[in-house]
Amino acid sequence: MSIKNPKAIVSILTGVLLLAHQAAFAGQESGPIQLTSYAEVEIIKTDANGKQSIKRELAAEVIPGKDVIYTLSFENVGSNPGNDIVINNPIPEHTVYKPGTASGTDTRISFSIDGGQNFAPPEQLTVTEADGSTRIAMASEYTTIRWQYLKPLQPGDKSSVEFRVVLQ
Amino acid sequence: MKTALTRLIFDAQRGLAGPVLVALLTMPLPQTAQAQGTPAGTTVSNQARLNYEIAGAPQQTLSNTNAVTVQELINVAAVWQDAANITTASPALEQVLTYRVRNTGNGIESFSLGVNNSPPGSDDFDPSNPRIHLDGNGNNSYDGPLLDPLYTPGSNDPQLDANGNDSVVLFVLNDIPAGRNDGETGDSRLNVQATTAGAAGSVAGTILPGLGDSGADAVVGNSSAVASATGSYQVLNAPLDVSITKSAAIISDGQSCNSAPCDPVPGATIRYTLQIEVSGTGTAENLAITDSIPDNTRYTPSSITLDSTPLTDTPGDDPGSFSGNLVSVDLGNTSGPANFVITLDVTIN
Repeated sequence: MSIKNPKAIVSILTGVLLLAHQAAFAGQESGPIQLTSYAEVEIIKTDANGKQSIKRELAAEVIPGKDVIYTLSFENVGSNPGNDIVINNPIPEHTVYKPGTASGTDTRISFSIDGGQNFAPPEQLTVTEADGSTRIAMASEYTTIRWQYLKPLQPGDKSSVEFRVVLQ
Repeated sequence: MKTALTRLIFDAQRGLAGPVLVALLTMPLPQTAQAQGTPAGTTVSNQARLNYEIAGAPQQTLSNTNAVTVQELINVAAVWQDAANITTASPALEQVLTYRVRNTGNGIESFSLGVNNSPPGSDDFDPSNPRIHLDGNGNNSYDGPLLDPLYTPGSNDPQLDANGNDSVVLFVLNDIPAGRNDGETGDSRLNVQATTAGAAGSVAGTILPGLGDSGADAVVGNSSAVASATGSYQVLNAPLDVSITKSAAIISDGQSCNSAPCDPVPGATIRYTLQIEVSGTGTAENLAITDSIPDNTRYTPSSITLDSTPLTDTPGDDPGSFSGNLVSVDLGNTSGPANFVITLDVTIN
């Protein structure tokens, strides 16, 4: 393989790095835009003076009733801008979405209560009861979170969104 | 955690000098930890999808899958089941208190049991000789040691699955001391603790690395992996009661027959036996037994016995007397419980 364009070399190198990176993230797909999920928990650290602070740690094990914080990091490792970026994250089984915790810079956030077929902001998500009346859906009924990234993601740029769930 | 695994880890600890398997880390526990949660060892997975366009061409990528393992929360609760104090006589044997112990964690855990008959608090007496039985036939009532086996610590510690058979009914049998008055109470406390090493009594949030189900960490819950419940007895003695049972046997026919049953012919001897039972609590004052000699018979002189001891017919020299056609035995002030047997003989005219 002959390489004429230095930019292509960078691209190939990045690809190699990505392959190495992927080994640590089972199931992650390659492509110009990479999406990585991190699960974290908050723990209280106490320093030598007895002062407590809250730190995040990657979560390997969690106890029922605790929060798990999921961060979805996305990065454009390609050479062209990515447009109309939409992230869908089904709420993990055995967990319940914690109201008001979904966030992301330059995103529009909406939720689904039907497995990701329809999305709306919380105040517009309604459930029809057996007697025909309607009510606002509870956070525990959310099935999927959607972030619409409102601007193009330029090559080399990255951003992230996050949300919290409570382990049942 | 299951007993067998616990034992394995105990053995490992004995075999190694130094390593401390029980790390005392604390983490804040949610206040809802009483509720049973996702089973210990469950893997919680998360994967997101990202859709985008590059130069007008739609594309899609999936994130990695996060796998988080659910830790075993060790929690237990005990509740005294009887609706009210168990009423008992004083003394009494094997009075039953009923408890339910529930695994309020999210895994499989064995629990050891004990009884404290002198728990803190105000009561009037201590029950004694405590024994714990497991509700072997699951009917919530004590049916004796064959159906509801005796509990022996370390031998048949109940193993409870928070996601299955999460509770067990237990019976605590105590004996009640003598001499207690009506209304007096005695408390008996059932103590329960998880058998996972290092769990019982540790502060909530203590992490026990690798000691949970499926090798996950175990975390001590808000119960500190122990529970207790106190049941109470209340003395209600039966009221004083005196009963008499009278029976008759012809012990001689005056001729050839010399032991009952003989024929009721003239000259035959009838022996009447009076069994007196004083039951309940209290004293029967000036208890006196009188019996009139039946028509067509005559009293056999000096035939009165009290508990096999002969009495005279003369009033005043002993409890027995015969006057007119009345046999009397004066038992005086008599406290229950007590039993007497009086006999007297008559001859058929």
